[in-house]
Order: sequence, then structure tokens, then C-alpha cells
Amino acid sequence: MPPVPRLSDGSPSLGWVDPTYQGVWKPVRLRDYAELLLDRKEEGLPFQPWAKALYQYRIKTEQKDDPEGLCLPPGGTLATVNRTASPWEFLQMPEQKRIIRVFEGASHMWQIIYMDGRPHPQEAYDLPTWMGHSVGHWEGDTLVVDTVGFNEGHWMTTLGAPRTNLHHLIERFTRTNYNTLRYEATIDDPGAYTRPFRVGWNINWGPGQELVEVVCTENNQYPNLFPDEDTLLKQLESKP
Amino acid sequence: MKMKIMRMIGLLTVLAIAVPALPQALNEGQGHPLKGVWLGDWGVDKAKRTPVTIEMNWDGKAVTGSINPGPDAVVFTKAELNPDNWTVHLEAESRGARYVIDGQIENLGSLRRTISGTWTQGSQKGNFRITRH
Repeated sequence: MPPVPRLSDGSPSLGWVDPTYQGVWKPVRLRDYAELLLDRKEEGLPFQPWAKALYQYRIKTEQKDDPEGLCLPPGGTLATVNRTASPWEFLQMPEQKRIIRVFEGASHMWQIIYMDGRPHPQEAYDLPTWMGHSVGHWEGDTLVVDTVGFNEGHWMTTLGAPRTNLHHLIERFTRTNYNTLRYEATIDDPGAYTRPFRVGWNINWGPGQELVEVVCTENNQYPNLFPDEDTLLKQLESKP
Repeated sequence: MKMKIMRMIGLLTVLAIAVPALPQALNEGQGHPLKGVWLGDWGVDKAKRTPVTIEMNWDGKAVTGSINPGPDAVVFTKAELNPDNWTVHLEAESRGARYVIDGQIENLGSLRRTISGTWTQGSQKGNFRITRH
């Protein structure tokens, strides 16, 4: 295994430099964060009552309304690990003072992380977006990404934990060795949760792999999987 | 004639801005279930209906909002959601009339979810149905 490569500015490469060792980050499928809490203080996530009830409803109805099933772009933690466990990669551009994350799945999206020290603009809050507005900096060899300005078009987890436009996400990416990326996130969403909380997991390198074209909307059958809500609930209740 | 053309240009400009904005607003309904703009009507019987627009917001602690937002908006003095059964209780007061609205959310997971129930406005009592837009 080669050492973690470094760029000309001294920062660690979170991608590849030598084509012999090219690859992408290949997350495993994680449906929920309850077991991934780094600061557990209660059973499960620290939901507000309405958020917990909505989460339970989404589990009961088998995620029939999952926006990702409708090919809507998941931002935040759900961009890093989502329903399809789609790979992604970092493109670091130190001369432009920005880093771009490119995602294979979930609407073929990208995230711009501004590394030039700018603050979040007011527009990020006034005109929230699917991916939010991200600024980053290095703390040693850890890339710290601060994102705000999410719209309310998506969920926080595949299982259905909600997210509101008050969501503030701080992600920490540390490449502990060539094949491993340690991911930790601090989630502060006072619209849906009673306290900020931290989650974390490792992401593996997919050696030799490249991102390929995936167009989610092409022949998407997810919306056809479920009947209307009344029928679905009756079907689920009649299950042994 | 010139005025008509100018009006038409103005209307098309408004539509050009408003129409693309609608799908985005509709897609953003995965947060607090009451948040958003709701359109529908209320009335004491099937024949006599009054269209209503209700706007509700959530700041993490309380639901706020109004009936028919604008200069004559009737602002809610109480707005509560019971997540145990997804019932909604709204109260307001305007021009001497007290509003008490009790309903239940249906099709919770849908972006086009509805709320229906009873609507009391002053001495009149009827029913209502509103759909999130």
C-alpha cells in the first residue's frame, strides 16, 4: 500500500496522484446513524417528538416517499453514504483554493468546498439548496468542511431521519492510510433534534475504479414500487 | 394597445419567475410536516365554500403562520401539532371573530399531503380541507 500522497502545497491528497493507484471512495450502505453515534446520550438519535414520529412513519411505510428514490439529490451526510452506496471522489485544486467532490450516483451531483477563507454568504440561508454552501479548511491532515443552507427536500438518513433548513453540518475527512478515509460529522439541526450530535465511520478506497455515468431518472422504477398510502398501510398491517 | 402589450410582457415576466419556482417549493416538504403553503377551502356546507390559503412555518420551537397571508392576514395565536396522531389545532382572532381550526394530516409522506377537519369562525361552524402546495 503506498503512503498517503501529498500535493504541492503540502496538503494530503484525498484522491490519487499516481495513476497506478487510482481509485474512488466507496462507501458501504448505512441506513441509519443510531449505531454510529460518537456521543451517545440517549436511545437512538436525539429526535424532537415530531421528528421521531415522522421517522417512525417513514420506517413503517418502508421509505416509499424517499426523495432519493425520486432521484432528488441528497446533500450533507446522505451524499457521503446513501441508498445506493454510490462512489465519489475529491478533486483538489489548491491553486484555485477549492475542492470539488464529484458523486457518481444520486443525480450526478457535485459539491464545491471553498478553501479561500470566505464565510457563508447570507444567500446560503435565504436561498437554501440541495447541497448547501460549503467552506473548508485543513486542521493538520484533516479536511474540515462546514456546510449550511440546505433546503428541506431531502432526509438525513436513508431510513428517514428528517432534516430541516436549520441543519448545520461540520464534516471531518482524515485519510488514515491510502485505503481508508475516516469520516466524522457533527450535526446541529435544532429544527428536528434536541442537541447537536456526532457520528463517524470509515470509508474504503475502491482501487482501480473510476466514476461512471449513472442517470437516476433513466427508467427509474422506484415510484412504481408502492401503491397509494391507504393500500400500503393495509397491506403492511395484514402482514403476519 | 401599447398598454396591453406592456401588461402582457409584465404578466409573462411574472410567470417566467413564478412557474419554475413552484416545483422547487413543492419538492421541499420533507421537514416539519406543517411547514409550507396550503390551499383549500372551508364552509358550512358543500355549496357554500370559501377559498383559503394557510401559510405555516417552523423555527425549531414553535409553529407560526396565518390565514390568507397579506395585508389582511389572520395571524395564528396558537398553532399546535400532535405527532402522536398527526392532529393539528390552530387558533386566531381577527375583527372580533375567533377562529378555531382542528384537523388531521392525511397522506403524511406525500408532498401533497392534506389537512381536513372542523373550522369555526365566529358563530359559523363548518369543515375544511387544505392541500400543501
